[in-house]
Amino acid sequence: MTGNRPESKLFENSIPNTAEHNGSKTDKSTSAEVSQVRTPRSATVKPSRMSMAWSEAGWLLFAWLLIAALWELGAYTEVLNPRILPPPSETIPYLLQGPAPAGIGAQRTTFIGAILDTLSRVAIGYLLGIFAAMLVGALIVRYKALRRVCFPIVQTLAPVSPVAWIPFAIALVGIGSPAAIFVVFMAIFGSMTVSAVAAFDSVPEEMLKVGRSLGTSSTHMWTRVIIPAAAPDLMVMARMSFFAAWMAVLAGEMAGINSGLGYLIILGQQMYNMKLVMVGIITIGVLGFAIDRLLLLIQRRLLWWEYRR
Amino acid sequence: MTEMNGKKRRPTQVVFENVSKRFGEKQATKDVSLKVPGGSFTVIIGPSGCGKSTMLGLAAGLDEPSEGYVFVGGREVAGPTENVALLFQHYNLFPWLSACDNVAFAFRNRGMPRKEARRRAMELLANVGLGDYADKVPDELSGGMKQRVALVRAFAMQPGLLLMDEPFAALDHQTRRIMQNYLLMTWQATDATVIMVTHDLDEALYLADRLVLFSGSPGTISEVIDIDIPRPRKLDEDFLASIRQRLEAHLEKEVAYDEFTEAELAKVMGFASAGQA
Ligand SMILES: Nc1ncnc2c1ncn2[C@@H]1O[C@H](COP(=O)(O)OP(=O)(O)OP(=O)(O)O)[C@@H](O)[C@H]1O
Ligand SMILES: [Mg+2]
Repeated sequence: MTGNRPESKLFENSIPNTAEHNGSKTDKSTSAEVSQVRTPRSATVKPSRMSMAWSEAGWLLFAWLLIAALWELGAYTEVLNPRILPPPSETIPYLLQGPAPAGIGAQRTTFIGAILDTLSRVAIGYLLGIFAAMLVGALIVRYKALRRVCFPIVQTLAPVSPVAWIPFAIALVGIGSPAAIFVVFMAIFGSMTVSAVAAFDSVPEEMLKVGRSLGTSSTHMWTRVIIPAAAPDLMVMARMSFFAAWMAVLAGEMAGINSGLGYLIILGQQMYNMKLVMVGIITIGVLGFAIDRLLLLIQRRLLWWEYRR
Repeated sequence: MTEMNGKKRRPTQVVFENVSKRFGEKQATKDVSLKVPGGSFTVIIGPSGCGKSTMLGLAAGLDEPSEGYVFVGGREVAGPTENVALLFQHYNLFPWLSACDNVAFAFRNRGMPRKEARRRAMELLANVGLGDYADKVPDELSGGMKQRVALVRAFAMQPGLLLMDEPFAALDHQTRRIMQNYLLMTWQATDATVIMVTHDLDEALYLADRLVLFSGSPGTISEVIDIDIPRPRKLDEDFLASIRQRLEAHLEKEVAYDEFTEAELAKVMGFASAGQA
């Protein structure tokens, strides 16, 4: 890694800013006396974090209730056309009862079936994408030749819209889950690889030297030093990538992969069933939000040391 | 950390023989020869960018010399070994490991089982009054405490050679004084050879058996000064005060010319002399 450092500077600008993790906090505590230490705060932090989560949830609920009420009012006064924008009082019961199966023939799908399709596609494509990006990123950082040859390719692939891969994906593997997974993969692989390279590159040189001088073998350098050191940056990027993956699977399902939540919305449009479109949008929003929260929880667990203070 | 594996070993001598180091176009050091006696405390001072850290990297086996040879303990350096410990200003501790696990890290690398490694690490931390902080992560420790944990780990390896690159530069004055004494106490109980880089003249005079003055780019040794005064030292002592003046004079003309244009330097020096008039 040592020799690659100056070169890696070139690419810094193309990386979303994750500088808050890059050691800026290491300098903070230098002026304290030797005998002095921060009072352990973990005991007081936990309940307050809990109550903060509750108040956050409360405001979220409040905001949406407000929007629902205004919407309802708009529909009632016919400011909003209820045929185009069905009010919550119609949509919510429709959602809870579970929309009837829609579509014809092979494309026929149930609401739950559509959700499962979409979730499994995004999960597989996302995990494969993250894993492949970390692997390729590590190889690029490790081998100078790969940095010269592969990195430019990855960088030019990163900005290609995932939807652009759909014709190719469908021609290769046909409509259905493999094509959707491929699209999700392509949506995150490039940008995640670029981020992974940046994250590995920004591990402080001193930390690597200390690791090596403590007798760490070169495999253990990766597993015990570089990956943990890069983990905060990687995690931030992985969370951002999820949104890209989520968009990509839905866009794919709308643009030719004829199943899943995205396709449900297209069906709603074709049958002029706006309640179905509404249900699709709500489900997409709620699931996306829930998964991001889940990733945040995983982040807290994985990066426990960052949440100790 | 005082038991020395039973058998007495010979203190680790370090020898640089006509060492030059280039990084691409940049010549960091040129034809440096230096003998560091085993068990001594050598301090390197010199202007910014004159290759001090480079020298430590060569002795640690993290870099290879472009020309010349580096010997540690009579053997030519070929890669990092556990006989050589490193201490920097920052990033000595891994933020994702508790103080205890940071110390245990070194033992684990030697194949010691996790439980045993942690037990040994706990013991060492308790020995230096850090027992209560063993389960804290570095972010929860003050700068001084972090360096103390790093020092404990460095000495836990019973290194023959300890290389320190401005280890206390980020600490406040008071803590730095305490750490210097702490270092001396710990070091004197061992046979380790120490090479330390610092920009702090007081620190250099307080600690060094031997001062090595570097001058600017490419780095060469311009003077070696032996300080044969027993510790603990008082810095206002005549001999030390006179050396201090020599050092200041040396560094004055060694301003980092790399970093200032001649015109800019003239402006700054003009301002300074106007102030004295
Ligand atoms: N890995 C590297 N690649 C390229 N140039 C380097 C590298 N390491 C050091 N240099 C250059 O070699 C010269 C000496 O660097 P070195 O870090 O040894 O200086 P130093 O005396 O430790 O300076 P400071 O007091 O600022 O720490 C500098 O000009 C530096 O830019
Ligand atoms: Mg340096």
